Amino acid sequence: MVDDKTILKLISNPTSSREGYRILITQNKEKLYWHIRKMVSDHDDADDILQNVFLKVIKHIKDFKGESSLFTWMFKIARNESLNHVKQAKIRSTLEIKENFVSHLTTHNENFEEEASYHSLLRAMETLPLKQKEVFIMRYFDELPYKDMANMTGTSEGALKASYHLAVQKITHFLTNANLNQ
Amino acid sequence: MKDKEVINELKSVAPILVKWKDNGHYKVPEGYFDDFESRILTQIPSESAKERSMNPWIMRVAAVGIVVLAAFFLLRNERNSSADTQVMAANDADIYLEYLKSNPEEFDMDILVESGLLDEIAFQSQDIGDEYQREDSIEIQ
Repeated sequence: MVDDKTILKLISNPTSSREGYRILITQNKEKLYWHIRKMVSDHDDADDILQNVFLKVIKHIKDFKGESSLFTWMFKIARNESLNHVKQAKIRSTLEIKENFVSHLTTHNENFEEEASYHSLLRAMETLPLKQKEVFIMRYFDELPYKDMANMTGTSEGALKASYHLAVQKITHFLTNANLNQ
Repeated sequence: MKDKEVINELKSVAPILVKWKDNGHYKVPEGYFDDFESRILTQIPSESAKERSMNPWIMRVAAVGIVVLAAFFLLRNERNSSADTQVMAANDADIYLEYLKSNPEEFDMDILVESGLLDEIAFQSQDIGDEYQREDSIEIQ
């Protein structure tokens, strides 16, 4: 793991800048991809957004002031891009998003029941308000500490904890009802 | 980034959610992450290409120069074309006067006065009048 200072030093030198960018992308691409993917559900959309995120990062790296870690700064960009995409997609069609959510899941899982349950989880997530869904993904899947989440979202830790617990309750309630109805 | 606190939290409040925490349920094209860096880096210009590209100030000065040159040629053409127009107008006036002299019956008296040709044309029309008079007299007879 190469630290931020070394990466920024490589990037600031024209002869090593590409190597710096390469390291920056390698170290962060998967974490950012999985957050975006959970937000937008579709791989192609996630890929487009992730590419845009890194192109923006490279374009504006000179504006990075070091007030947070590089990951936090990039995560903020990824978060904004994802939220904008979801908002636009919701305008197009909420139904379409739900269909994409299910159609882009793996199909080679032999455990059908487990797969069906997982679909229920995704559907439950879709019932959450957008910001609450985002908080749930950041905590449940990305496993981010509340402190980092507060820095990334500009929301207090207390509000984030409340939002996450409310999301967990709603999802649990949705899944319990889904199981009862089966 | 792994945070055991998240799992412990779930175990106590929502054990049903513990089992789905991994990404294994999502499908990603094979080798997607392998060439991702290359795909991004091919989209950004290299440093040498950046150096080859023109300095923005040089581009601005060049743009101003083009505008000044274009304005100069446009004005010059305008002057030339205005001189040509004047020559053409002079030629047109001569032709017009010539036509006026030879066909005074087609024009109003005001135009003839304005053009200063009234006397000249009056002399000609006197001859024409005599001819008419002669024709009239023939008919009377």
